[in-house]
Amino acid sequence: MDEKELHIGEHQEQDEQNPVARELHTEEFLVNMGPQHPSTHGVCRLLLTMDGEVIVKVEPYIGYLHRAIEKICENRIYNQITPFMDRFEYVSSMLADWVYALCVERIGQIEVSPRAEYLRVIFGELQRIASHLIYWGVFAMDLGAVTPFLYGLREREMIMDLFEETCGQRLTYNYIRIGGVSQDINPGFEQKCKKFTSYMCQVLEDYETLLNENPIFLSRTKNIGVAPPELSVAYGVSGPSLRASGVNWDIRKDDPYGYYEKFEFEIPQGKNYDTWDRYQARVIEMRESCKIIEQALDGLPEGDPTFKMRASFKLPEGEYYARIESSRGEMGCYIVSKGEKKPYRLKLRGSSFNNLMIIPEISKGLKIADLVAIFASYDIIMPEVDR
Amino acid sequence: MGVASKIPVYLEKAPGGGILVTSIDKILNWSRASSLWYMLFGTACCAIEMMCTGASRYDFDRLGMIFRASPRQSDLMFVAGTITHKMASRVKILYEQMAEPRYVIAMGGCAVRGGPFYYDSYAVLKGIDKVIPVDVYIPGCPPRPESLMEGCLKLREKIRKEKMADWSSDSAK
Amino acid sequence: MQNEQLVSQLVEKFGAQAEKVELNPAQPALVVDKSILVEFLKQIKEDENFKIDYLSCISAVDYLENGMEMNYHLCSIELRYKLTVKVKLDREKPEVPTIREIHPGADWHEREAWELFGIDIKGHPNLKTLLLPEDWKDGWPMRRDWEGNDDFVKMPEF
Ligand code: SF4
Repeated sequence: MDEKELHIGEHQEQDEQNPVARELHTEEFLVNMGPQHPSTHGVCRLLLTMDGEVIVKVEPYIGYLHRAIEKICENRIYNQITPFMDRFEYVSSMLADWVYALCVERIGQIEVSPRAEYLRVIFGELQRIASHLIYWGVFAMDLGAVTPFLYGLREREMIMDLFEETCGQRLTYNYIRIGGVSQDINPGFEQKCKKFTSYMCQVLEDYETLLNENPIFLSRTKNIGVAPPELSVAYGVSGPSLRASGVNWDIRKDDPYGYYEKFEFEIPQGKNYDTWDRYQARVIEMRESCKIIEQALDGLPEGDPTFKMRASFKLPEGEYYARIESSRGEMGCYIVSKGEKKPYRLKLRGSSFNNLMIIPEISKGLKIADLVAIFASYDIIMPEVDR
Repeated sequence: MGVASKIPVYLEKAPGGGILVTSIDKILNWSRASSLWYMLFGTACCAIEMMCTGASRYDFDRLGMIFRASPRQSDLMFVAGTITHKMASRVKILYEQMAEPRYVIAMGGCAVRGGPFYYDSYAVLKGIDKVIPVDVYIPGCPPRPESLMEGCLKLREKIRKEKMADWSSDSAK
Repeated sequence: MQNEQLVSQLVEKFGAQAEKVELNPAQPALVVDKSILVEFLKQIKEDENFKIDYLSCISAVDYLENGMEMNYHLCSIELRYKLTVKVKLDREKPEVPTIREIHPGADWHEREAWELFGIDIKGHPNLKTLLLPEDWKDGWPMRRDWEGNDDFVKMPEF
């Protein structure tokens, strides 16, 4: 065969001058990753165009978990919607409940009792830790270490116990409701929770010794998948991934909701904007969450955190886009109410939706193994993307 | 399994031939039931519970169940989570890629009958048994790890009752 | 700067083309004409006083006889205020220009609006199915008057 015929691809011209590259140059080919793939965290399909081992192009195909939650919610009364929010973002269900409750409260001008607000903060932050623990374990597992996965889920079970004794569920809590929370905490919860946070702070040190100096872990994360701040902002990346890109943006501080103004905590920011920073941002965030929980437990006011209302009520006319800082970033809920018992339109914004969009951009020119690391570091979960 | 796979052919011809191989049946069933390797395949919320069951506290390993990433190496598929129309054909492909004998557990309301998304959803498949055969159904939203374990024990019971004489007719289907 | 001030400044700057809507005070909103949408977003992104550079979300709403609406939920990372930009569309022939050049993150949001509502995104290079199955033929499912397909079961009223 004529030698030239073999050279099909974009880099043909440069390669022509370089004899070694001409020898090694291969045809571009397609690799299909997913929808069932352990490191796509759910059902996402990535179509990779490869040049040898190097990624030329990544094309995500989504929608394998599109369950039409928005359509369903248009046909349900307001109180029936909360369970769907749990399922919209099941890794941090509490926070998904919260954003929905927040949106309805802002439209209906519903007052929330201080105790309920404090409980929301406590449970929201516990949920954030639980979600980051899954992230931590799964991230390490994608890089080839199985032990962290077992450690991470061991600690998560403790949080599950706290949730279970309060609201009776392990995953889909339906705890944060419109106007308050579904029930008060049991006596003795504070002590258990404090015990957990102090334990968690110790364990985090173990975690850091386990991974932070591991040369394989370092070489697979440092300087891989650099996302500069301008790019991240342009693509609408949010949450710890955005902060790892060096942008100081946390909705808890910058567009406060609940009682977050009352608590002191720090926001970690990355310097190198790489996969390592994104990992580190979450580990530090867990520690900050522990701090917030402790402050909230100390200041927990007395009162009734539940809210009494009719099962089906009419929400006044109006519309609002509420957003909170979930464990992955900005989670938004947009409701258009026409003064009826059901929302006229409900739109959900999952942070992974935007976070996934940037991955093709920053993974060009890397290897497949790096793509796995980047994908895991953005903490993409599919229900948020597909809804 | 070269010889064993031919046995059913002869069994069919000999009336009452099943008696000849009861001990082999037992050994095969015992070994199958005690090392059910499951495919790491989860689509939605139930997958998180499946992960928890596989991890530290509930520990699937003590039932001899270890997760595999590839369908080719697994005996059991948990359909953990919502299956949409878009995903349904892929689930079927995955099922067909698994080597026989293969088992399916439908975990959670969604896999059983569409779950909370039964009404008003244009995208969700109403029951995974419309696409692939199911051995054990576990209701719940999500089922607790204990009930998932229970489901696996039920499946083991089912496997223990299998007879070699049924194989050939099974694969002929 | 307060949100209220922001809106009045914007109205001043853009005159008749940007019109304020009274909503929740925490959520200022402007209606702009779709012909100036791209230019408008570009200016408020580049202008030192506004710096609205972050697109949170795009949501399409179907108001049946009152046409359709695209809502662009924006905010400024540095100056920390938010703004909703609304564009009214004709329901018979809904179309809106793409804003991908200004906010690349709008890409999938626009594809979603096209696929679920049938809003034609002018100038979008990659308008193909995102969430629905590849062989979807049953129309625009998120429109309010969508009748349902064979598999659609309506929830009984209680
Ligand atoms: S049954 Fe419930 S928990 Fe399981 S996938 Fe369906 S909605 Fe999620």
